[in-house]
Formats: sequence, structure tokens, C-alpha cells
Amino acid sequence: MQKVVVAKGLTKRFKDITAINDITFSMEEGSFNLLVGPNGSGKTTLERLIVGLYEPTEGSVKIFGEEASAAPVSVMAKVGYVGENYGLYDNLSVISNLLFFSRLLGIEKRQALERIDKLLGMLGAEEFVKRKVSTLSRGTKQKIAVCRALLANPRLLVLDEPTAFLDPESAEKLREALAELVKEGTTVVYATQRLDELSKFNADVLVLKKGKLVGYGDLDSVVKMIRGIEIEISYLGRLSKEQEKAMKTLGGRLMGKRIVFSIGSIGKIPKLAKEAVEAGINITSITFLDYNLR
Amino acid sequence: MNVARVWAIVGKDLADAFSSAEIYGPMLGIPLFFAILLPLFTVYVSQYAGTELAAKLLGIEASIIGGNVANRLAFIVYFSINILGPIFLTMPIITSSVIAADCFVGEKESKTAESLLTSPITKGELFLGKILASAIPAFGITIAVFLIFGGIINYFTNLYYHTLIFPNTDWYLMLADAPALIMATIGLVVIVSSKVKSIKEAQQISALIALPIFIIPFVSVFALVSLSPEFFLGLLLVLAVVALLVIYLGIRTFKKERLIAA
Repeated sequence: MQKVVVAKGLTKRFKDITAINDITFSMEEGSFNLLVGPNGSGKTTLERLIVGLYEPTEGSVKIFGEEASAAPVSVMAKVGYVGENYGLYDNLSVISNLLFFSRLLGIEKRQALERIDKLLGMLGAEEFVKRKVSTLSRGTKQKIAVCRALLANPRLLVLDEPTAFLDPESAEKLREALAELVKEGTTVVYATQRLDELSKFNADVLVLKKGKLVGYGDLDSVVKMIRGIEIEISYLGRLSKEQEKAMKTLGGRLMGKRIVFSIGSIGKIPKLAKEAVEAGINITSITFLDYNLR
Repeated sequence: MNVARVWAIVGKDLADAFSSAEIYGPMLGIPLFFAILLPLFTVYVSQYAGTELAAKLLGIEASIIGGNVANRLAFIVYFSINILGPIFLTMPIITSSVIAADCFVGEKESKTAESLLTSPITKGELFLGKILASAIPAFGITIAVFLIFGGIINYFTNLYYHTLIFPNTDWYLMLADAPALIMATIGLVVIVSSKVKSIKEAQQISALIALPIFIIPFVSVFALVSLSPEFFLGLLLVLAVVALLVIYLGIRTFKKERLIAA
């Protein structure tokens, strides 16, 4: 199996801050790789190093055998990337945005239109094709950004929290589409801090903490390593007195629209989620805040 | 170099700029306003031309071609070619610097740099696309301004003095210098745009860059340099070298990382 991403002693510093600290790993062709960790753990920086937006301070990261930050056009044509921003031009329509990126990819207009139609249809965004990007919701922008990244049938797809603003149905469609791409041989790198997404993929997991790779392996082995977790449950609406009481009984701390729990192991998350749902709380996400490893 | 990718950048940047009246309004409005106002002003002021002006400026004895008519014509010819010509040459550069100043740092501020810089495009294609996206409107406006200005001057000189001033050799030479002048100036502004942190900063620095161009009309006024064909030819060579150097340095020193917020 070909190694699509190979990082050796990868380090990235911004002045006196070490965002990525001496990381070594590789990703195989047709693998699904989850980057997990709380905010500030280095997920975004690592992804930007993989797609060549940043130059390593020390060490190296290669994609398809080439230094990522100096990768030639032929390599970048195989890469799709959706960063933490949508990367779309607000003043242009959806179709103008997607046709522009198609032209950079060297896709003929007729072929591009067919592809755009198919991708927008897949994510349920075809009705927005003529709308100006600035008029779209965050969720729709995220769908369009994913379509942009998929335009060239990428062999390496790097995504930074791509379901953050998607409704559950669209998020599921995206996960299905990604699973299909992996089957076809695409290597997917997917950064998330949402613990509820972990179990939805058959993936290799890279756990980051303060720029260090602290866990690396299949989902089961990584889950067993994680201890002393602090998680945050976000919800819609307001909590009733009874719901607040139920959450406090479980050890939850109420912080605005979030409930924070300190739990011993990741295995306790499904039970907590179940109790919250049974108490009538409309959960939108469960997110890592912090954790320790065994 | 892939020409299709360069034109994709040009097309996108122009569509983006012309989708906002805040950008294209001043870019088109200011030069057009002066292209109409200044010839009317020139013709109006010419009636107060001094009696010896023709002799002083053009070396013509006023009495030979009809006294004060010669003085008025001398004023119009001198003022419109030697003073207003260079001013019109600089005006589109100043206004199109709005697009140039915005071109890279604008991608950073609107958070589109990530998607653009991970696309399959070389630094050279990207840099050239960005320069052309500003240079094409600048050159288009230059030609439009010269045609409008020249047309109005010709209308009045034909009406009052039965003669046409334009086309004129000096104007052709000025227009021949325009592409190199535009490429060199906008190239510098594009470099600035790729290295600063905000659009405001880029606009302030680019205004400083464009400032020396205003020297040309003043040099002409004080007759330090005669705006002769040799002057324009020399200027063309210097500007062409500067433009090539600027583009080369811009590509060599371009770093993706500067456009990505940490």
C-alpha cells in the first residue's frame, strides 16, 4: 500500500509557540484518518502542514513523495482541502466559485458543470447554485466548500471539522460520501473535536494534545488510552429546572448553553448522552475539552 | 506556465472587484470625472493666455497665425500634452492600485487564501494573474481617459480655431510607456499586498509607491526634462526593466504562509 502522507520529526513553531512538536506518522492510500484533540491541540496547524500551507520549522511532511510545502502542481491537483474557513468568494455566486476552482484544476467547463451538479445534489445544495455566497447560511457554505474540495476527485482529502455547521442529515450524507471515497482509494484526513463523531468512522486515530501526538492507532486502542476526560455537551433551547437538576446529579457543570462533565473514560460518554436525551435535552454535539492519557 | 490558470485568476479577481460598486465606482469615476472636467477647464482658461505664450512655449510668432488665437492654441497644446498627459497616465495607476492593494491581503482578510493556495497553481501563475487583474483595467481606463480627454479638446479646438490637436506623437509615446509603467507600479503594490497584514496597510504603502509618479508632470512644468521622444523611449526601457525585475522578485519572495493567519 502506498504511503500518501509521511511526516518525520515534524515541528512547527510560531515565534516562541510550538504548535506541532516532533510528530512522526504515515497515512496509507485509502485510509481514513481522524485527527482529534481539544481546541489549540494543533489539528489545524498539522492539516495546514500536510497541504503545504505552512513550511515545517524542523522535520518534514511529504505527500505523494514530495515535500508538501513545495509540492508541484501535479501533486496539488490530487489534493482537496476544506480548512476551518469556507474558502469561498462572498461576492461571487456558488456556480462562479466552483467554476473558478474547476478552471484552476484544468477541468473543462461542460465536465465541470456536470460534476458540480452531481456534488451539489449529493449534499442537497443544488438549489443554491445561483445564489451569492454572502447570502448563504454557514451550513450551506460548508456544503459548498466540501463540493469545492471534491471537484477534482482528490486522492488526498483534508478536512477541518467539516460537519461543524451541518444539520445531522447532511452530516450523515457527507460521512457516507467520505466512506465511499475511501473505498475508492482516497486518503481522508478528518480533524474533529467532536467525540460523537469518533464512533461513526472506521478510522485510524491521531490524538493531539498541545502539539504532541499522544495517541496513534485504531479507534479501540486509542479509546482505551484516553482517561480523565473533560467533555462539553451543547444543546438547543433552554434547560428546565428538572433537566438542570438531572445534569447536576450526573456531575455536570452548567455553563451557558453547555454542560461540562469530567469523566473517567471515554466509555462513559454513551451513558451520559443517553441520560441527557432521556431528560429531554436536545443535544447538538459532544466535544472534547481536555483529557489525559493512560 | 499555464495560461488558462493565469486567466482564471484574472477573471475571478475582475468579477470580484466589479461586483462591488465601492471598488469599481472610484476606479472608473475619478479618472472619468477628470477626463471630462480638465479639458473644459483647459479650454476655458486658454482665453486668458498671455500675449507672448505662443512665442515662449512653441517658438511661434503669434502674429504669423493670427495673434491671440495662436496664444490660446499654444496654451491648450502645451497644457494638455505636457501637463495633463502625464497626469492622466498616473491616474489609472492610482485608482487600479485599489484592486492591486487588495489582491493578496484581501484573500487573507476574506479567508479565501487557504483554498486558493492549495489549488494546483504555481507561484508565477498566481502572481502574474494578480498583476494582470489590476493592470488590464488600469490600461483600459488609461486609453478611455486619453480618448475622452482628446475628443473634448479636439471638439473645442475645431469649433473655435478650426484645428485638431490630437492624435499627437507625444501622446502615442506616452501610451506606449503606459503598459510598462502600469506593470511596474502594480507589480510593486502586489508585492506589498502579499506581505502586509491588512488591506488598510497595503493601501497606505501603495499610495507611497505611486507618489513618485507624480514627479513627471512637475518635471515637465519646470522644464527640467523635455518630454521628447528620447525621454519617453528611455523611460520605456527603464520601466520595462523595472517591471520584469519586480515580477521576478515578487515570485521569488512570495511565501504562502504569510497569507495564512496563524
